[in-house]
Amino acid sequence: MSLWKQAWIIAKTDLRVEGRSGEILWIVLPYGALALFLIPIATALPLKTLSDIGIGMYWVVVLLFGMFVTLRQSSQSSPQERDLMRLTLSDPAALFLGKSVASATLLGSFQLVMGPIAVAFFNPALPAQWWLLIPVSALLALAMAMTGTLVGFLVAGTRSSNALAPLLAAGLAFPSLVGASIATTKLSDSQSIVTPIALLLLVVAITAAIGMASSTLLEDQ
Amino acid sequence: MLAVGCDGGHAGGILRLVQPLVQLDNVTLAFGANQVLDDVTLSLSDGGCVGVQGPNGSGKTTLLRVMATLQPVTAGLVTVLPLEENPRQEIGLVGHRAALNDLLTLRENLEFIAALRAIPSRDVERTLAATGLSPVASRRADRASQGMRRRTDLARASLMNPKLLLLDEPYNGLDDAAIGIVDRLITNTRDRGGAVVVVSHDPAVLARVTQRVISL
Repeated sequence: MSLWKQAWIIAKTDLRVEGRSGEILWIVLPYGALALFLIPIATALPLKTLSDIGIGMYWVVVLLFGMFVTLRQSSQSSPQERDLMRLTLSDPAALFLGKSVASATLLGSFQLVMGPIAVAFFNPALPAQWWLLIPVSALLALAMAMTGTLVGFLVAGTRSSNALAPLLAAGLAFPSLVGASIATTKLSDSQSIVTPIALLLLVVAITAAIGMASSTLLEDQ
Repeated sequence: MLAVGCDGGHAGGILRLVQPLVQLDNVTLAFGANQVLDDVTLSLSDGGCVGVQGPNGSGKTTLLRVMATLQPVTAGLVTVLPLEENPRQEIGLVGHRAALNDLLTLRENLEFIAALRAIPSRDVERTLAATGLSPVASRRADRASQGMRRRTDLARASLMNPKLLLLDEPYNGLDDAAIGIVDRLITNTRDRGGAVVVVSHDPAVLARVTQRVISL
């Protein structure tokens, strides 16, 4: 069976498991929304300032809470399940790809819900071509998903994985956040966003290459 | 040094060279200062069935993981299913803890592996029926009894038709019907020309189902 088909089966199963656990829907999403709600209250900034920082705050919430999406409990496997996967998959990269696709789908959905909430709480001045933020968000979701999956594999079974993983993943996802943030600023100034899109594409390509290449090594760690 | 040979005698009177399915030569494994396996030599050919016994912490489960190619060794040579293009895909490992996703039903746990191996879904239903799981197959794994979870693990091993079957305490906590399932799984694997390794604390069990027993 091809790598892609195995990855697709893993992604579908991961999404089904997450659907049943409800971890993203009932825990991460409400917390993310709460964070967006609390920032204006806690800072008591003037409305104009809140409007200026609105999109930036949105990206920060996406980065920080997105880590909990990619590192969700429902996607973690027991040692017995990991052994089973090692004996079942013809190519270990299928696990990386499948879990990344599932996480990217969930992250995309997370951003889709958080976007209107950020607009409601911050009333940011959206760029005229705001729809160009959709591919930016999609690339950010993909980059963060692959980073989170890779980190999840790296820390699997380690004693402090719960604390270490979000820290590592957030650090590694930082370039993606910078890309998304620059894209937003450039759009607001009616400039081309080719450079930040290229940066995001580069991060996606590098993370994918590392993830695919290291799958066998990480599998046998 | 521990050295054991175990052939199934499935040559049928035809003179042939027997290529062992599993060959461990002077295998040693240590986790830091903790010596887990010490100079183990073992050979297992088609149709063979060997038992492994020993006290807690003697390395029985680790030895199974070595044979499953899941645990690298410190020294020595491990050869598993040398004639297979992808040996890992021919290994069935049933651990003492079921490898199930708790949020999937028992059927979905089997279907997941079946899909990854391109095994037809009718085979899943046939296996569920053969292991007596059909009536509870729609139950989520985290709501199934330990016995049912272990049956599902055994059903999955049966579904995968492994050439090398590795069983870790397979009879623990099973009722008579489930014990029959384990026995059939062992017999079927050996009849297909595969080999079986059974880890158990119970000498009577090993004497009943295996040809030879090694002690760690």
